[in-house]
Amino acid sequence: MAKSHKLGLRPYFLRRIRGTATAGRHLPRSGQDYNRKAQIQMFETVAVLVIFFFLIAFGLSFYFLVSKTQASKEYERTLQLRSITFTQKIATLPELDCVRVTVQVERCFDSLKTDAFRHILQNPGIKDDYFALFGYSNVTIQEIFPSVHTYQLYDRALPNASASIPTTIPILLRNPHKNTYSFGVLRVTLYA
Amino acid sequence: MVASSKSGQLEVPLNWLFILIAGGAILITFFAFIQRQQSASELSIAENLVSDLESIASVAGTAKGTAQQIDFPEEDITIGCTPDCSCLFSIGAISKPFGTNLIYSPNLIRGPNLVLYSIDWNVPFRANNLLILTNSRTRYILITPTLTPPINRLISIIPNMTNLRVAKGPEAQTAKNQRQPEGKIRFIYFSQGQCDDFRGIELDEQDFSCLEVDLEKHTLDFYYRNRAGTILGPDRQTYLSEGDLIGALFTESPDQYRCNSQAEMLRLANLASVYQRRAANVTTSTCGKSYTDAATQFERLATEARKAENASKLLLHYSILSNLSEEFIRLSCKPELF
Amino acid sequence: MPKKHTASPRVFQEQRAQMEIMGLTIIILLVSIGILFAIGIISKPTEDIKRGYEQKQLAVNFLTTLLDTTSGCQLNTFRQLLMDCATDRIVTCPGGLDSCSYAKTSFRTIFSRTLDPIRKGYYLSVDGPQAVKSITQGSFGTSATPTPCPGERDQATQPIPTLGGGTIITRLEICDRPPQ
Repeated sequence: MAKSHKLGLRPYFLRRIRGTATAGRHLPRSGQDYNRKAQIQMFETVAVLVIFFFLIAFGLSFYFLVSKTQASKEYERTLQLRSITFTQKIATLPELDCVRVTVQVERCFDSLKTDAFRHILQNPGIKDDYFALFGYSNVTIQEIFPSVHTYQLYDRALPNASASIPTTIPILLRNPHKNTYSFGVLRVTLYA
Repeated sequence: MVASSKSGQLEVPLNWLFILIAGGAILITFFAFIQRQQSASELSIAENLVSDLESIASVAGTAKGTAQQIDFPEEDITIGCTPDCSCLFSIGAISKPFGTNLIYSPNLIRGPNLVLYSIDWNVPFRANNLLILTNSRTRYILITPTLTPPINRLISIIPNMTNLRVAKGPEAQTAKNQRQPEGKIRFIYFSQGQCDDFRGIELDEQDFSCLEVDLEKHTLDFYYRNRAGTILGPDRQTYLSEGDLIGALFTESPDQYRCNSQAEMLRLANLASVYQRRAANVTTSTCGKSYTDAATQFERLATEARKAENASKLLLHYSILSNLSEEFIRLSCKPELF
Repeated sequence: MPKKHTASPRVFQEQRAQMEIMGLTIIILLVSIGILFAIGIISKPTEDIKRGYEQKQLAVNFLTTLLDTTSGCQLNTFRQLLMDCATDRIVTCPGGLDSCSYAKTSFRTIFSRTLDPIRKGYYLSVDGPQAVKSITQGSFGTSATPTPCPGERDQATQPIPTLGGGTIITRLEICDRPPQ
């Protein structure tokens, strides 16, 4: 009897479910009690599973978002590398380079060759031959000093291009008649 | 008491069954996800490697006369061209076309390193940079009874890191019996009828190829082994100058050599047109020589290069232009011819 | 027999509830850390390889190309003009200008046609004998007293040895910040 007083403040139904309402006396539980207990336990389990799967879904969606961001950054990086290698290739083309006594001069274009190359690229067949090299791009050589002149070498735009990457590098433009060097820039725009 | 004990007995196994099913489903989901990510990751790695290789090849090709050895993962790089000149290099499931790079290499290269060697293709003006791709596992044995000046010159140009070895004199006889525990071996002869002898010798599949070079006729006879183990050849090609001869030394596949040659010829034709127009636009020169003859020679060279039929005609124009250029340099003519 | 001290059911339940709350807290902490990482990765700016390469190469290539350019003053290159400026100043350029003034004016023209249109700040410093110092110019500060690039920059240096005039040190800075 003393024990039941100690337990008296606890809600009755909890004590019923947990079987302590009988105050330690071993009395059989009713079927209803078992059902309720089972239902609550099932509810608990299902709730845990729901939250667990919710967390998984949440984590996965974050993972895919991060992957997508990383993939697009990788794509940008690849494009940038492509534009750098493309510009380096143009800067060393045999169709443009300066050669003095069979020695190639770095960062130098022969103005006579440049003009000749510009002219032959106007032939559609030859322009197509160079598509493998130039692709979708715009290549312009601008003479800056002492005189100003522009050689529009190649231009093939990509319809609906998502990106255009311009690169500018200074070059010397050699006049092989006078053996003088003008200051020029090579402007390359790659379309992607 | 009996009823409650029966319910207890049922509850526990049902509980475990539920745990097993739910746990199994979760594990299966995770494993499937991991498998998928693994294959996606492998594809991503292969894609990165192929892109890096393409960038390396592009940049190496712009720096002429350089040789470098770089570390590369232990992946199989397959390089080759189909008979209709679709040239690709592949790592795993990812392939990329050569683009404008002219790559001379064995069909299969495996890490841990790559050797890149770029050389000028001068015909007689610089027309392109050729890139040789090989590695330390592939051996090249140049077999000659005597070292003539042209062969000596070739050997002096090719860097040691390309793993080219010379077998001369008595060593030339035993060179055929070289065995390679792993990697590839390529024999290069400067006389005819030598590679045929390999037909009777047992060698591991696909580790063997052979080349016969005729320095006077400018011909190359390719011998190679197919998957069935049969030695095929000779597949005859021609070369124009030192650059493509050196390229042929390192190329197993005659298709790859032929496709590179076609690309070279097209480039040569367009370049000769540029020089032709350049020469035609020269109105005055410091030495009084006329550039008209040179313009005509450039035009003929362009025409022959476009046809790409007759190597001897190309060689003729090549040597005429070479002589003209030397004369212009000797007379200090400005502008130079090329 | 002494009485066994065992936790009462109530205490046990309280401890169990505390453990559950602790578990939930740990899960929430882990999820928060995961979210923070993800946000950190997503918001990390893309590595700009091209800009770094281009800017570095621009400084080096620009300076070398500039010095090798034929100035238009008696077929001398700018390198030769600077050497003349540092030593005897015997070269007379178009418009009656000496080599120092002509070089300064020409450099200004070149920069105005190349770097100004693409909004790139610069600072060209020419150090050596007093005469060459007057060629120093830039987009920051005043024309009389130009100042180096504020903030980040890429630079290239070229020494030009002279006979009897010491060594001229040319330094070109390409600034990250656009000109004022």
